[in-house]
Amino acid sequence: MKRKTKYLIRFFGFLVLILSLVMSSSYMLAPKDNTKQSGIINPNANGFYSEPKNSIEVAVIGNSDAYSGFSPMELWNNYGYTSYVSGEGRQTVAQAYEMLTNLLKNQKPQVIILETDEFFTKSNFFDSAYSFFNATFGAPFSVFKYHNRWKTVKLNELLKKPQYTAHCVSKGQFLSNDVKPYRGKEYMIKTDKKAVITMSTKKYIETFVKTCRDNNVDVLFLELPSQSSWNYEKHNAVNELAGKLGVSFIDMNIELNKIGFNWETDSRDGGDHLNNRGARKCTVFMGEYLKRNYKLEDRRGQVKYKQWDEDYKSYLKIVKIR
Amino acid sequence: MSYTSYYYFIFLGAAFGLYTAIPKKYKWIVLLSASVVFYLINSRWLIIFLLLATVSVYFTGIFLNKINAGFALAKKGLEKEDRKKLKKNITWQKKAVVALSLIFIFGILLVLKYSGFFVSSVEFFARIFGFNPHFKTFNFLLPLGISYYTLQAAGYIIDVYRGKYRATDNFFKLALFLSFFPQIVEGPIGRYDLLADPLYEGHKFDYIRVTKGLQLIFWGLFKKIVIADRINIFVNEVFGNYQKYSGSIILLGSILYTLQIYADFSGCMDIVTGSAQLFGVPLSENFRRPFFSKSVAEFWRRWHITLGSWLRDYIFYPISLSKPFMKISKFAKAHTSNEYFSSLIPASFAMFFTWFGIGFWHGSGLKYIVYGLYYYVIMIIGMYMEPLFVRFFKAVRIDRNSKPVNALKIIRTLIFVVCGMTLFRADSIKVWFNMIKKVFVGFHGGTFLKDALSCGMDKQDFIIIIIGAAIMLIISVLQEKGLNIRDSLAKRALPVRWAVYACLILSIIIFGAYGVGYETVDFIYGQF
Repeated sequence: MKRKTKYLIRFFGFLVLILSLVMSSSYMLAPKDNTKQSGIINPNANGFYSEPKNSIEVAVIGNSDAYSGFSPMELWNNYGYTSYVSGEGRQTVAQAYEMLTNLLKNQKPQVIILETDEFFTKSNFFDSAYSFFNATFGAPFSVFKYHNRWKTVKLNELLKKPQYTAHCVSKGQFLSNDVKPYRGKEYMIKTDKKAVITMSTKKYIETFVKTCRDNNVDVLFLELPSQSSWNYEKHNAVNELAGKLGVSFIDMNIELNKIGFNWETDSRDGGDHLNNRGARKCTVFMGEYLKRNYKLEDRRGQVKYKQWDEDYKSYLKIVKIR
Repeated sequence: MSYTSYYYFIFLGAAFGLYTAIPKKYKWIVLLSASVVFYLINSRWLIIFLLLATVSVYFTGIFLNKINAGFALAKKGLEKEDRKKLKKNITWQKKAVVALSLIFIFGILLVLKYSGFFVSSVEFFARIFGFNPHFKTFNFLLPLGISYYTLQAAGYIIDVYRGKYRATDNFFKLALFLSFFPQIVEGPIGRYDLLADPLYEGHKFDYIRVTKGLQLIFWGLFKKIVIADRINIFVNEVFGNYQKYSGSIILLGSILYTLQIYADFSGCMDIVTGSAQLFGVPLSENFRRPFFSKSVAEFWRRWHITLGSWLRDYIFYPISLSKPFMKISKFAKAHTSNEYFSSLIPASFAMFFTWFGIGFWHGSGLKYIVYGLYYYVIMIIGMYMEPLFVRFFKAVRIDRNSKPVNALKIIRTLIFVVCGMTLFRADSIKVWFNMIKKVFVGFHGGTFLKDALSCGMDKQDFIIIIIGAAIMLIISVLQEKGLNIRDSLAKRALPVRWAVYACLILSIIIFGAYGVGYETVDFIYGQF
């Protein structure tokens, strides 16, 4: 009995030692900034950290479709709403949830738009659980994500608190002037069939929506035009889920005419992602929707938001097609 | 479910928890259930092939038991001559049963793994004779661990045939022996007489045993994730685009690949041996510091030991001790004046089959056969040159077993091994030739450092590999001197032990080649 107790104490003692070492190294190796040089993964998506506190009114969270197809600068220019796109390639809903909790730490948007293509992204159980754990407990084990920072970390920044200094002119949008048309078949063929959203994904979506509501933030589901990753079966599945959760769902793939969308000119890679022109059209359409359904303030001309005008000028210098 | 994945460790933890909780009598059932689940997760319906092999081997064993029992009864009261006759008859029956069973299990392996190779070989030879046939080939999915469990099953049948032990009457126990999940993917190739008792008898929870198992698992993870997977980026680049690189980089790539395959394979062996140790099952040793070998033959006694010993026991000895080869030996002795050479002739033949087997076992392609025969040629040359070496060292009055000579022997063996590993990793024999040629005629050492850093690894990666390899080397030297690292560590004070374990675990987490920027690398030997 005595021996058993000794072993138990040793086991838990060693566990505590390892956990504390992992947590300490997580703190030390975590990026101390949101610039590319700091080693943060997806610096554009995490650019909201360095936006003034509570200055973003609309946040878009999603995968590459989101950062290609939504333009915060166009929303600013046309409606004066401040927004940010936190898009990550192949993002899962669990990762979107982690992004949401990070975003809510320094922003209090009125609307959060969740891009729905990721509802169908296959997710690894452990990766999703890890994101959920990070979202819940504030990434105490971020060393598993940022362990490779040992290569670049400087001794004097090991114990430093993060200071976010990056400035993303496009506010998270991936700017592309490339044009590669899609000339394939019609991909939105009406059907009653529904694609499958897995149980675990549904759970993460519900948690995402609940967290938004608990923070008095409206949620909106959005699907941007994408020929290669979208179809009517997915539309039906998201529509049904949105109905169940009481969340509005905009599927731009069935609104292409209203948007004035043209697959000849608005895609950068033959129908998968949008270019700057496609993003502008979709954002203007979204702006109208937001204007009709939410009481967002037009911030243009306000001194506090002067930087947005400067950013818009810089944005125009990069954007060759609109 | 790779042995380095989170899923595996959850699976292992669950299996271990169940094993510990269940009464001793039923513990082996937990191991069997876990092994079946593990196989189904990894190979799904292909479990049917494992089942077929198990059924075949089981009934062969039962049949052999019956024949032996029948013989024991029948021989009572028989005259010596009649007994001899009966024994001869019985031996033929047993041989027929064993041959059928071996044809069946090896037939499955040959069809699934080698049919493409056979078809392309027939087409190749037909083209030489002016024909141009096109046969339809099938790309079969390979059942998990088929190359390993087939050898294990064959070894079991042959041992039963030889009367080494009686075949088990319990089908499920045999199924556990053939499917035990820590060893099913890439061995070690187990022997029934060594594994049966530990597998079936059930072991109580033992703190010391469990901690030792965990230590081995973490050490294996260190070798695999920190060293082998980090090197993978460099090796892929150099072997995939060798035309772009100078001989010096190709040489570095070959050396690093040798280190990678060792860290990968021996790392996996540590993980699986540690896993089996949790259940009190001691798996056979598969590596014994192979890079300290003074000859290629010794290298193969220390590298993938269970494959070498399997081929020795079931291919080399049966061939070299068979009647035709004994006759050759006698003939050679009678017709040559040199006794040394005459004794080598039958061994040379038997070795040919053994090394052909080693090459062929590794994969379906001419490259692998050449890989096996490469070592065969080196060994044969060494064996036939031995008298010359003896005379030479005598003439120059140098002790062949002195330390400097031994060091040179180790370096010589390493050169042969690195060259062999280059063939093993190269896309084809032609590519291997070109790579070796470049080492000699296009070395270009001047831009070595710059070029080395342009193959996907940076300075820090090299530092980690050098430190990792140095740790492995120090541990190997200590083990070579007879020190049991884990036992001697266990005698140290608690803070020292914990510091070592914590450093090991933390170095895997921090310096491991996983996550963003790295691809998951399957165990190299899992592909055979």
